[in-house]
Amino acid sequence: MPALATSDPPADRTRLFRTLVKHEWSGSRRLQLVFFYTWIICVWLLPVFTHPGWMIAFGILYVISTTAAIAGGDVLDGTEEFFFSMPPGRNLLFLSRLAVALSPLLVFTIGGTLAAGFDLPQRLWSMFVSSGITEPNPSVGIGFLHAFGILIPLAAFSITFAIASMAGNKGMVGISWLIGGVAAGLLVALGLAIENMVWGSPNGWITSTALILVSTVSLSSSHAAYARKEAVVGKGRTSTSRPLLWIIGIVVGIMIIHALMTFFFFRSSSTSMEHEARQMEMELREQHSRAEAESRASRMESATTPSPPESSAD
Amino acid sequence: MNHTIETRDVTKTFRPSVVAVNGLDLAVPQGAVFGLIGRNGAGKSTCLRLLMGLLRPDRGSARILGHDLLNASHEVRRRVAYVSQEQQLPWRMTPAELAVLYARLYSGWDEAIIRDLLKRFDLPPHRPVTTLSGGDQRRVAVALALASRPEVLILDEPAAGLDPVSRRQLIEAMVEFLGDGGERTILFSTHILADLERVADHVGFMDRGRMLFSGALDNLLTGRRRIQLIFSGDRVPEGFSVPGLAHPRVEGPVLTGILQIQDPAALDRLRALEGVRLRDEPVGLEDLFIELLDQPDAESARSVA
Repeated sequence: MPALATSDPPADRTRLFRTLVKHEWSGSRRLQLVFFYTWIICVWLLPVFTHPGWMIAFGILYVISTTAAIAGGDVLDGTEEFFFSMPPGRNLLFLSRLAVALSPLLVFTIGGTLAAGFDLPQRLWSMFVSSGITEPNPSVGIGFLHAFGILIPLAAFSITFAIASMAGNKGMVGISWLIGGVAAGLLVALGLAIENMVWGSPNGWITSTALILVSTVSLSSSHAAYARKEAVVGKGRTSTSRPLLWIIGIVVGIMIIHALMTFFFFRSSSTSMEHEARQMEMELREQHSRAEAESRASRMESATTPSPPESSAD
Repeated sequence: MNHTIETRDVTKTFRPSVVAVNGLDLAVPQGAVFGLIGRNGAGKSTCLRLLMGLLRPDRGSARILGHDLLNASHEVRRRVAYVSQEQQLPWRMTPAELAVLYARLYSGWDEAIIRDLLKRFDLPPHRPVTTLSGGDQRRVAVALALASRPEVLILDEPAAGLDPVSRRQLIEAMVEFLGDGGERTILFSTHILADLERVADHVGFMDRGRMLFSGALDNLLTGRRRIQLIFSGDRVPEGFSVPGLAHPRVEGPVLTGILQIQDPAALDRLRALEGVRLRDEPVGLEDLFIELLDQPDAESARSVA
């Protein structure tokens, strides 16, 4: 039997990849479009999502809603055998799903950061301001929190995607986003704590690096493992699936992630505030002692200086 | 001989230590219609999934068209189609949408075949798969696989759960697929031996993860006869035996079994016995299946085979 080359022409790969992307997109487009329209409205019409806090929340919500469903969709639907036996193979399947799930997240987070950086929503709003309809908002400005606005959702996404794609059962797909969110939250907490120890206040260097590293490692290792994954056989989604349980699970998960993020952000910000307060106190003390020393010196000077002779009236 | 499908010493164990396939050797010649039969849990589905690269073997190799499908190129994978017993189609998609997806993925896709099969199977092209019955979903999957015109078609229990009319339609579609030109090879597992006899030219008996017998169906059936020796007394004489009689059963004066005929005159010699009446008939696949798989262990089954 003549053995064919094991590599495919690039044009063929591209065509298959495009077909899979189109297929994946058609499967999740409704939810993706809801997120996209929400993002457009919130960033461009109500410029709230340019704030890093909102970017993180929006990104995490996107991860919760879509990532596990796209990456672990085959396990949920029982279609892993079907897709694994088709010509494209696992490698292209993984990449096409990654492209469909990751692209919107990057648009939302990087787009939000750029919008904040160039203050684009305000420019749009300037016509309302100049017409006297509204007053200008204070400019947000870009800081390391904006990097977090991109990197925290990205890390949560990557861990969720890796777990959901490698999952061997529906339960694991179902909790993958929770593991991803909590892991990203813990990573941020750890990074900020280390930054506090090293520099006295968080500056985002260690945390950002860790988030990038974890994202890259999760995606690349799951990509390699997915190429050798054994197909999971299972029943597909049915009308007896319990949407209420899923909704309760998602709400509880959001609350856990929110609590973790609030706790760690509050802790890190309060630590930095304490640090600032301590510094201010020390400065004040220094100022105070300097002032005291100066006044003491001036008093002494005035005490040692002979008083001018009283002029006698003749 | 050219073997399109081949496994060598393949072993697959599932946790906790369930040996599904144990040192399996299988060779399916090019252009053959190979039926794989065995009891539930014999390892048939696992064998097919190993061949499709859906599972990784613990040991040995499983190849189709000379390639391990797990790592094969798209070009090789396009030449193989597979329909599994438990395989689910994407639930939101309609047969028509699935046909569009297949047309983009399989270079040999034939639109006329899918139109014809959907019509013949009476399947609605624009209804989501999830609204179809299990049998209809299976027929959609088979129709898609046939319309992609692969060189190798692998079917795991394609007729399970289908009514007799649908089964007959499926068999007819498979026969047409074989006759539409090109050397096509089919490997399928089934419990329905009548279907297997209708289309298969090769057969493999699997038991406890091993291949007991595999070969041309004609060779298997023509060399054997089911015989019944009826003695004039009230019991079979003490110590009476027939050389080559497999799995003999004695009930009063009647001795029954399957005779492997090595010598063409053997039946005449039995007929010539005094006080004995001989009845013989051709052996069906079902008789053989039961005979082989009714053995206490794999070794005795193998010796019968």
